[in-house]
Amino acid sequence: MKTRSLFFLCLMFLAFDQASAFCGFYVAKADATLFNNKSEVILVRDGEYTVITMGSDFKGDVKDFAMVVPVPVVLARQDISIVDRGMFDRLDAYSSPRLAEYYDYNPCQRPMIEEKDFAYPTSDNMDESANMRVKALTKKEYGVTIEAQYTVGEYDILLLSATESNGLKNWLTDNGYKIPAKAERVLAPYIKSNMKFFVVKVNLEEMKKAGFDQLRPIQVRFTHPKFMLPLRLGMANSEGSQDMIVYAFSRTGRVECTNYRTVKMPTDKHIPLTVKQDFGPFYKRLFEHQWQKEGKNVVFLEYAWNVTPSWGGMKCDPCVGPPPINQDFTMAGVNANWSNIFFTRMHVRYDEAHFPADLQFQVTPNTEHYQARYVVNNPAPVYDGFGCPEGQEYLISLHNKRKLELDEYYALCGLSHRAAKDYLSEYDRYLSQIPEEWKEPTYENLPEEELKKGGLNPMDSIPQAVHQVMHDESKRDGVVYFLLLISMVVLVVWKSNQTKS
Amino acid sequence: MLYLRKLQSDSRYFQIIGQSTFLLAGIFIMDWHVHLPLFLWSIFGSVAFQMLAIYFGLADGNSLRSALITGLGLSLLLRVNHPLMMVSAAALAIGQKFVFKYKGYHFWNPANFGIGVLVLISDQAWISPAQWDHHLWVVGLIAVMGFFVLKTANRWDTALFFGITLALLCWVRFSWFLGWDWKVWWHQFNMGSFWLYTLFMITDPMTTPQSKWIRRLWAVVLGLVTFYLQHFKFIPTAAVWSLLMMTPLVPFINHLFPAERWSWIPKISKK
Repeated sequence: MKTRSLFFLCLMFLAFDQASAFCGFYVAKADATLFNNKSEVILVRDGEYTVITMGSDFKGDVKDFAMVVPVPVVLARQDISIVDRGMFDRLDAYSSPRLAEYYDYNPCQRPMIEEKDFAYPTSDNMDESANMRVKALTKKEYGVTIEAQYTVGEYDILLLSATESNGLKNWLTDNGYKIPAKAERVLAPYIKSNMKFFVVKVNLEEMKKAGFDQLRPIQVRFTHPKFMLPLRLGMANSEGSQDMIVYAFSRTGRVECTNYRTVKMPTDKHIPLTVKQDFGPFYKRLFEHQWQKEGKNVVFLEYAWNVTPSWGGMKCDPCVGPPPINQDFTMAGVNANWSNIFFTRMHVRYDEAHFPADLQFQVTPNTEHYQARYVVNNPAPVYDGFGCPEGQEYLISLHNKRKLELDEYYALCGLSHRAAKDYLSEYDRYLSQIPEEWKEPTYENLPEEELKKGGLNPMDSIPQAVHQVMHDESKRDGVVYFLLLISMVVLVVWKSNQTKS
Repeated sequence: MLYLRKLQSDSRYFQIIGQSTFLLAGIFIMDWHVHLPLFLWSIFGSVAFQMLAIYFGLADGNSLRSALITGLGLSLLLRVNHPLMMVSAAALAIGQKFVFKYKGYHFWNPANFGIGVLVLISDQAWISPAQWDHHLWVVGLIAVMGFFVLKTANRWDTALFFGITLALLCWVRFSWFLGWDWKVWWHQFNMGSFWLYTLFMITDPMTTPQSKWIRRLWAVVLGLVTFYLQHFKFIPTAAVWSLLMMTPLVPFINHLFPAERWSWIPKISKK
């Protein structure tokens, strides 16, 4: 009964405000564990004050772990801390792309809602993010100065300044840090920009004492006008592309990249029901396709929301995980007296060819909420069939809806759905008469090889695009506004000519 | 042919065509259709305020073209949370032309003033410097469009001297001093927003010095200031601020180095 009233409540809500609220059930999420070779970073920025928390998914032998990060200033001991790994998981769970579902009811029967079926994506094995060995330090002259030296938690931390890249490279190599051959070229610009090097290795004894078997994230705090993430050293380390998830907090609004375009992931798309079983892999495919479509050099926005605990508005819609609480914010480095906290999640897949420069960011006052959300629709339960006229109408609308879902799937992933034909005609057998135009097949179940080639002819996507525009309210409004805009330009030019003559 | 001659009679026609093209490219290729109401407000606002000025006899009829350019400029570069902010930007941009005047010259480029002042005084407006991406075709298109505008307005030199100064300084810093790959330097320049700004805003003949060589010197200094703000003060939208700071000097430069006054419509009688 409770679910029923919720269902009706949702219907009412939809009728009032379709744009701002959503009432499907949350069924799955595509969290960061799907992506191999990835790193996670939490950024907090307030004026020139910056907090960076670096999460490592290092899965190898901890004694091989090493990290070299360029930082703009020499950090004091109290500006470095170790935080709980769970914070990353909570932020990821809360902000990851989500799948929600709707339920149709059988117009020939009383409405009833089936039990929900939760499907979580399984996590893939992670590659090793770094493979560096650490040896004892030696005291040779390399033009390298140890500005500070701390042991924080299970880490031994050095802050180095260098005068010359070769010296730094040799120093690191001679001290057992395995630096890639190309590193020296990458180190030089940081040295000349007067940046310091934050060098980390694991103190095995401390780690044994603390009893942790996983490396915990390191947090650094400093005040500097530069708001950037150095990627170049990481790229010198790896041949292919790497994924990075950035969770950013600001007081005013979204954080965006200033030297690469920040692109929103397509959202609020209705996709085939079959995706429910494997939403994780679906999102992975979608990401891959969008990344290629955008030219491989953009930063994707996956989530943007006001998360101020005291703010009364809806925090997520639907929620994938519990919203972060005060404790999470404090741990991330957000000052307790911020009256407003805005959360941005960005996902960037970078490689050397497409990301020549480090990522630079700015805080904007953009408070527009955004989330990557996908919707599946459960067809009505069959019961005694769809014999009544409303039932027949429903089946036709279901067929048409499913066709749109398949189109959407193709547009999102660049692939045809594996079982497109079966999916489309699944309920056709309940129709007393199949419409003439359906007899010509619009979709085929594609064999594996076809799928790899990319499925349908890309030219098909043009009528699809037109179709989508006409069925998408926001886009339809866009067309109207656009026509108004054009007519105004024409009017002004014409008018100004008239005045002149 | 007749149409072409008509277009050449006023460089603002090319400017309108150019800026509209970018707005359309943004709407259709970069998913800007979500901002369409805002574009409408900025263009409508600018034109309406200018009409008001014309009604009160502050400006002549063909200045509507300038207002349209201002509206397009605001749409291309300014991002806001609320349509009211766009209208405010348009009001600031158009209004300042009639308030801050010296010997008939207005101090600031209207769109530049509207954007800069609104971003400074309100917490609801911002500039997204990376919104144009690094597509080569965008830069190419901007260059072609810009060429027509500047050729007709005879202000190609401002863009050239500004661009070369900045390119040289960046090359010296990135490739020569810091030792980055040339791609980092190219990444700086292959940026649509930067070129849009260079070709359509800093070259405004009304707000650049009239005397030829002084103007070129001014463009070089503007390049220096922009470079300093961008790479030493780490301000990603440096060009907006350097122009905002530098243009008020122009009327005084014009006073010191007088030259023939710019007029949008050439004073050559038709034959």
